[in-house]
Amino acid sequence: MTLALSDKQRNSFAEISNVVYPGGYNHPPSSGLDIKNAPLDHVLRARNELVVPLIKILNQYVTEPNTFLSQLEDHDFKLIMIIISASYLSIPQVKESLEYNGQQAMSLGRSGFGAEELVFELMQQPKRYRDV
Amino acid sequence: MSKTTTEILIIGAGLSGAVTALQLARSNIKVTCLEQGQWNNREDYPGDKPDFELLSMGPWHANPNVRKSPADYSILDDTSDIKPMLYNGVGGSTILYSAHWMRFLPSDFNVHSLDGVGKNWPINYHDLAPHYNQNDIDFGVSGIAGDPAYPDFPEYPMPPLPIQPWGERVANAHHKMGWHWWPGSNAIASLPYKGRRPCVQRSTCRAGCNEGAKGSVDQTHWPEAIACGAILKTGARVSRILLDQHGLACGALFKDASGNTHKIESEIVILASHAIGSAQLLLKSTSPKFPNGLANHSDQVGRNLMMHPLSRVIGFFDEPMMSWQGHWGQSIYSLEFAETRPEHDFVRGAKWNLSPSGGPLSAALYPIDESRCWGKPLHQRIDNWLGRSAVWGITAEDLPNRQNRLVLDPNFIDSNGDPTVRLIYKVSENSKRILKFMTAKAVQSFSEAGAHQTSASSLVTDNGWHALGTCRMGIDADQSVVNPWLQSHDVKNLYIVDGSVFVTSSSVNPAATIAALARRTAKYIIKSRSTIKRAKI
Repeated sequence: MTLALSDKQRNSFAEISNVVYPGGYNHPPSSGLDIKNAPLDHVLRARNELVVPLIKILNQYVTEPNTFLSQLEDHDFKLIMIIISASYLSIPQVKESLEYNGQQAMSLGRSGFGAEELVFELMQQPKRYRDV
Repeated sequence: MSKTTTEILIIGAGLSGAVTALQLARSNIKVTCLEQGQWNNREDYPGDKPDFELLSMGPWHANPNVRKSPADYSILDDTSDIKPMLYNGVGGSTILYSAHWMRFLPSDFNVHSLDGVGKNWPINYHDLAPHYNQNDIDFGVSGIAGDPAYPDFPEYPMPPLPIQPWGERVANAHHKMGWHWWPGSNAIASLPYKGRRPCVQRSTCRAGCNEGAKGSVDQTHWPEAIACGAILKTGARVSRILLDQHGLACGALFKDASGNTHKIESEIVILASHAIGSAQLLLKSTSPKFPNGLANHSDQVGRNLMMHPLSRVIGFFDEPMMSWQGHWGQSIYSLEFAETRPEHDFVRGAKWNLSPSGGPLSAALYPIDESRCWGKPLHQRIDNWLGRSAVWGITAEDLPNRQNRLVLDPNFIDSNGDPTVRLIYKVSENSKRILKFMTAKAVQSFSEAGAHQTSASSLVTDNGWHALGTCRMGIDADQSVVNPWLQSHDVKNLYIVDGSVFVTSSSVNPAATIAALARRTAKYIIKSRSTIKRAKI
């Protein structure tokens, strides 16, 4: 499914994304990840109510992403950062660079809850509550 | 218009409605509960899906004004420093809560006597203790008894969840400093429990628990209540409580999901609709006898709204700890600064709870007191945050103020043609001082625990989980809405069992106390069944 963003809007999204998440610092650059297509579509499918406000923001973009980002209203800045970040951080290469493999279901160990010896010491302390 | 009858009508199928319904249904009392939302399937919760954070910022957001599901009602919040967080559906806000399960401290019931502020409750810790004890079993609470901050009480039914590497670090730090800490008590199963699976540490409690490990009342209470004969109607939004010619509540009008109006008649009415929903419904239920809202001769309905101002301090550690996993319920808590001290420039205090710090979107976007960032600083922020940080959530005790309130705003009409509820709430100077002091102390806590850096969110505005106090309890009918049995002073067969009856807020999470109050009132109704006031229907 292709969502209703024009090529120009997608290119604007890619330019801005590449400034938000540039290459280096052990992480891949947005520009090399085709963020404007499949990753963006993935986000907008999950949150299709964001399509219209995103288009409105992208239509304001002319050039120079840093200036554009610094001049956005708070609401619009927050919204485009959600979409860019959700797109970028959903990409497998990015997750790999972060050593993040998602929220995993884990079995609880049976070896105690941790710091038990401190808890048993605390239990010996005088009560500290106030009552009337 | 269809018409049905019941012995007791409960409005709202969340925490307090479920606790009340189960007790009554177990005693073979004919109970009908009206709930504006629906049942959820655990499989639909986003927590086990890759986009869980993205969905939690939209269709699963805890703020109904963001979520905008069909079950939600509008709440005007531009005049409130803190935004409302709640859930409408079977289970109410227990669907999305973190399940921190804390009893009030004994002093919380006597703040006026002890500290000269607020008002005393007309009941005390010991009145609620047996109900706290039994609810720990009913909700399936994990924890360990023996905290010196509390009177002795029975052991929890399950051992604590792991306090995690970050909890151990901070626990050791507090031990060295002589500061209070204790393993978290949470309504989250740490073992298989009454058909519930144990927690799998996915850390997505606030997006609904896919495992069913969390004690949400759609699991812990409603199935048994229904098996005992309680009727639960979903998609039923109450628009008015009805009054008979004797001044007794005799039922309600409600709309179904298609917009058709129905009438239900009942001998007793119990409001369990959240501090916002219950007060709103009373204010809407005007009549010649109660032109300012039902049960509101005192003009206290809607007033004294308390919202538990909250700040967060994030501690960043060098070592990877996988701190996106864990339980969003508290790893440990601290009540070191919960009580008034003469050296402080504020009264009362705060409760701290330590939590994991979320997934990559939280790492990128969680609001902290810093300017906008992107590029290299954003990469650095994520690297610092993800898996290497923990969060102190700091809840300030909020004191009642009659100017903090909810009202009906006639300039905004809702889909029923009624005025929309508006929150008017300012964070007090006392709360600001509490949070400022606590934030500095939490930085000290993390530094002692080995954090190389901290960041703070000095007031988390999107965190109004604990709306309280809008129909407060008291002896004096001119100063309160319900008596110590949560029975309306004005309408003798009307009870209010949710957090609206709180006199003061404590600094601890209110769920355990709401549940204890509801259970106590249900037991009172059962015991007094042959003598209490009823409408003739």
